[in-house]
Amino acid sequence: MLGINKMAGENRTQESAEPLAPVNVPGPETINENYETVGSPLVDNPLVKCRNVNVHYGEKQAIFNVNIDIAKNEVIAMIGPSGCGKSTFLRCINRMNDTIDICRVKGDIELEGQDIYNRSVDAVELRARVGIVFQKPNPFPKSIYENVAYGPRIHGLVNRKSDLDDIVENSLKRAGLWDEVKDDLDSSGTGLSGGQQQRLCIARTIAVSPDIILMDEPCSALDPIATARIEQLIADLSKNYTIAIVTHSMQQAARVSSRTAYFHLGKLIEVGETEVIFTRPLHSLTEAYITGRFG
Amino acid sequence: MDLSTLVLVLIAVTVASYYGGVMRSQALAGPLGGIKHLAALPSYYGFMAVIWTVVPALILLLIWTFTESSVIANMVIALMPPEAANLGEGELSLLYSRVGNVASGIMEMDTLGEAYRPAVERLVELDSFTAHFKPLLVITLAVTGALLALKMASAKWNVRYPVERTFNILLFLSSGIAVLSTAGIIFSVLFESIRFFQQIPLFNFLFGTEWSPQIAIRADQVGASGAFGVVPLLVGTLLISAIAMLVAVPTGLMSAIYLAEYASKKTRDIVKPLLEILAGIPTIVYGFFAAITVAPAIRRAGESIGLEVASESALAAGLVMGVMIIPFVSSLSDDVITAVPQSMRDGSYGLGATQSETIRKVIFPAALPGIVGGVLLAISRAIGETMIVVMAAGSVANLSINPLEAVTTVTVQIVTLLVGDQEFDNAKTLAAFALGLILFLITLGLNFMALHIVKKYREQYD
Ligand SMILES: Nc1ncnc2c1ncn2[C@@H]1O[C@H](COP(=O)(O)OP(=O)(O)OP(=O)(O)O)[C@@H](O)[C@H]1O
Ligand SMILES: [Mg+2]
Repeated sequence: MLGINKMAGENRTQESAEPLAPVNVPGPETINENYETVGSPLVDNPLVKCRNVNVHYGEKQAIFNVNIDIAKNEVIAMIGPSGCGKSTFLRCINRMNDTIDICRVKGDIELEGQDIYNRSVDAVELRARVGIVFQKPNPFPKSIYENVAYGPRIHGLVNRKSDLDDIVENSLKRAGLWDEVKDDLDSSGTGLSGGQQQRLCIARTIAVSPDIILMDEPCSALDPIATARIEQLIADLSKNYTIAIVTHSMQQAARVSSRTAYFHLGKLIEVGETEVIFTRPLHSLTEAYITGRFG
Repeated sequence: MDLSTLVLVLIAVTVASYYGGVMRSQALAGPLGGIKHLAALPSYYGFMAVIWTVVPALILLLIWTFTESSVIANMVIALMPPEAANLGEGELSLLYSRVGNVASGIMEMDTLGEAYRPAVERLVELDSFTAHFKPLLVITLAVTGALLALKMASAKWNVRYPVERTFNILLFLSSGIAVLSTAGIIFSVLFESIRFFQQIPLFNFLFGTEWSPQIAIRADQVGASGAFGVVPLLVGTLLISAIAMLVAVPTGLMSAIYLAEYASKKTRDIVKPLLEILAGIPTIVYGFFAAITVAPAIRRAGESIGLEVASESALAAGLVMGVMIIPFVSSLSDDVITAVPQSMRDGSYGLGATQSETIRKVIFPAALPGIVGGVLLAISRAIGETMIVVMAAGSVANLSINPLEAVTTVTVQIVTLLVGDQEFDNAKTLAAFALGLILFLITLGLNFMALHIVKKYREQYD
């Protein structure tokens, strides 16, 4: 894995002749408030449209003026050094930041043309449409069945037990966990292995049929085999869902995503086709990061 | 030299020995080129010297103090005239205290008779001997110990091991004291209870429905044989505890949920200390409050709607006890609720659950075992509570579950039984021990269950 080093920007060398960030001093001051993302952050007919998004934790600003679109049924990866605001931005999309007292989000985020921060929008309903999977698997201390049934139950998606059974079975199947747990759905979700727990959390999220699934480093607590399974799962899910995934692994971003966004110190530096980002990045900071010179 | 001066001198010697040890280690380290060449840090040398100073001196002091009186008594009694040897134990000790009085000049020699002069003189002699030599010997031993430790100190010998070991033993002894006193209390209660059950059959005690512990104090009294059925007391105790829990559990739990999940940090910072003040009020004040304010209020309210209410009612005591226990329940529940990891909440919110759904369906079930444990602990407090019920519940042993009547509890009866003059082997007095035993067994059982549940719950998130 890549090391984590916020200050490593100083190691940049002269050879990357990208004019957007002056060489040798790529501190936050060189990319000012009005910095414009390079590459192709915007798409036609976006599912999610983010404009001028700024996020503060108390006095501290974590996200600066981010503009980005997410297209339907794409997998978009978000990469960048630790602390650059990937999680913060991801959590804006389903208003999970509302649960943090000191967090304030400004700007427009639209889901299918509807401003999700509008007063008339219920964050609770929004989160049913935009599911989230966290870095650390967090199954409820309930049975496997109850974990998956939780969402459909609270949203009143089903009336009959048999319908619920179907949803649970389907979700577990799509999360690739069904074969392993079908005989003990009543045992506790916390008793599963880390990788199984993460797939259970994904099943739980799928069970409420969201439009978008946000994933915040879903594999960082998992071993390579479990990681490979989740990546396969993401590829399968991408047929039906739109997925935004934060990851620290370049290889993972390259494997699962069609577009990649690179964040740096709260700013969105570059967005482009994953292939382009990893082979011919436009921005020197992006290049420095993906070639492992810092981050 | 009296004991307090002796202790002061010992403390001075101890402090000196600590610095002596530290300085000695530095002196040892000097020629070697610094403290890092010592086997242990200088403070350990200091502690080593302290141990050598204090431990032998204290042991001597303790042994001397505890054996002194009996040794002296034996030596003095040996010098008494032969007729003294024939006296019984009680009379002998009476005689010995008279010898003591003469020796200290409170009584004249002639009250005893010349035959006792050698004994008296011996006592005077021995007393002055111990008064002078005990402190001297103790201090000498302390100083010798200190000097010995300083002499033994060397750069090679790792004094850390003996010092740590000594501290280990000290800690072990301290915990031993707690355990031993608990065991002591249990056994004394147990033995007295056994004596009680020799007079009153266990069956009658456990299943008797009448409690009137009036028994003949003099042999010629008639008609008062006493009834020792514990059932009315247990019912009364349970009734009052149940009322208390009805008040405390919902209120405490809901305030805990409010504080842990809804309250802003500012509100929490104000409300939590206020709740804890409630826990700091002495129970006798609650008792007052129950007897003087709540009980009459209930009575008046009851009468205004045509109910007959006793002036001392289970309801008054239970309500006030419930209020007393609220902070207990709320702070324990608050702890377990806040201990539910944030990731559980995130998981639930992330699925589109509202705050109240999250609390009801995720947080509360996850915290439930801990809450149950807390409630059980609260119940055992309610059952053992004395002051409020003594003041507000009355002492009439009604077998009733009507909360408007006066009832009595196990604790109240223990107090009533032990107040006043009785002989100690009287069934009435011994009954208090049997009640104590019952109380102890109940609370022990509850605490045991509570701890077990809480422990099981702890394992869940690790
Ligand atoms: N709850 C919070 N309260 C205050 N500041 C926060 C909070 N969460 C994040 N921050 C700050 O916001 C900035 C961005 O954090 P964020 O968690 O979004 O980074 P990240 O890119 O996800 O990092 P990582 O890769 O390590 O997960 C950081 O500087 C962090 O200190
Ligand atoms: Mg993060």
